[in-house]
Amino acid sequence: MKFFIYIMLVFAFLKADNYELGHGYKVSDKLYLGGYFSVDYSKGESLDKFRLDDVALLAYGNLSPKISYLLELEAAPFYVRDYENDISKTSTRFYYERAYVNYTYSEMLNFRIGKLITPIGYWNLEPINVLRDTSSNPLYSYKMFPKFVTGLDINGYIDEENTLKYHLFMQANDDIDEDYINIKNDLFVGLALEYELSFETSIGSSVGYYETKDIKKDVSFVQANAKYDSYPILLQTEWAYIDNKTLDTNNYQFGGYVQGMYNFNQKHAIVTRYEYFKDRELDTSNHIGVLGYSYRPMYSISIKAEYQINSNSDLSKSIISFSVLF
Amino acid sequence: MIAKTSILIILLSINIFASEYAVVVDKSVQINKLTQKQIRDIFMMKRHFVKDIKIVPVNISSSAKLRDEFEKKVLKINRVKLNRYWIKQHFQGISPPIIQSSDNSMRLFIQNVKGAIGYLPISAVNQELRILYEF
Repeated sequence: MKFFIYIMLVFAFLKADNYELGHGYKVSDKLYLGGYFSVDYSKGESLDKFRLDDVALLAYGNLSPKISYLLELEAAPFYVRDYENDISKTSTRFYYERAYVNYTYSEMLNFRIGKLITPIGYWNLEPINVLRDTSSNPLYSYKMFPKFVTGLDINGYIDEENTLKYHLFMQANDDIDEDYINIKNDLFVGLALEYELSFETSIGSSVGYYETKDIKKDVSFVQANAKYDSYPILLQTEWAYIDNKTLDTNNYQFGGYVQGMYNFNQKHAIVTRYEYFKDRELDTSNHIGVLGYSYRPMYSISIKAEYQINSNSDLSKSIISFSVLF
Repeated sequence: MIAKTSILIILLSINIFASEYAVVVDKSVQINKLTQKQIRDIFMMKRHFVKDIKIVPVNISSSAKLRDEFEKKVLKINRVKLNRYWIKQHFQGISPPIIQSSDNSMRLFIQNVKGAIGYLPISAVNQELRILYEF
């Protein structure tokens, strides 16, 4: 039933006057509606899986010149068919992906309260399939720090020319929706800085601390990122080091990626990525190479195919995906 | 003869390179000048204030030549890349500037909405408006 309503909503958007795919539907200044979905198929040594993933709805708007909000509900994965183990699973529950209110006080001081994407680096801020250039996510993007903050983000530009942006974020409670976060935690604080060297080039860095819940760990991390985006070339890299302590152990993880994309034209692009991830606690390290192809008939529609070579050859796999932002 | 030709070339050059358009606000808005980067940030919804004034950017409709010129000379970004930018901003919950369909409605909006900033042909700028940047 929920999926039927979702499909009806998508078709209502497509039929609406002045609607442009990928830009949302404007009901009024106070309410924009949108959403996205993706399907993917993965095949590897011991993997044969189809997913209808990321079925999401988005609502946002400006309640006044200084107050805005965003609500995002997502069911992920919505449907999984595991051919390897002959299992199917459907989950129609929609989770709170984001739910926050912004108060814009000045260029230097803004407040975001609620559940928000952790404002670190590039990948974490554009995590959905249709906005990514590969179907897969690097291990860095979900192993190092919680993807969401349920709390407060104070942010703004430090300088007059709006080139140096800061985010000071903090959480001192559980996540709004604990079933939908990569690392369950009840304390998370961090500071992220982003410096725009030019319209094409930016660098950034962040530091933070969090306390995990299921297995009690005190984790500190430091992260750095850089990006060069000048059509037809896009290069970006992000790395992080985390130090985690339990009562009687002290371990670290280190990982990151370098990704490059070359656009042949507005629709066709080739993507390559190198990833490294070391986990001292598990005594594992992975080198992963990704070679992918991206076809976008429109920017808001993405069809991608990739092959991943993993240093642990059992984990090497191919992925194809189709995703839409509406 | 050579002197006359030189003068003619100089006059033609001045005419060719003269600014045709201007970024404007209402005269009651206490802003005298903006840089190209500040204007780009405002129209890409990355900057919301100038001094302590809350800014409301206004675009002309996308089919207008004025819009093309503004994107090319001030935003310095082509339409394809701009479209990608706004699709990504949609996911972030940020919508593009509101749109006015004609020079006249643009001028009226700027004069009637506090903090509104837009752009017009210089020939359409009246005494109620202040030019912040020419292009």
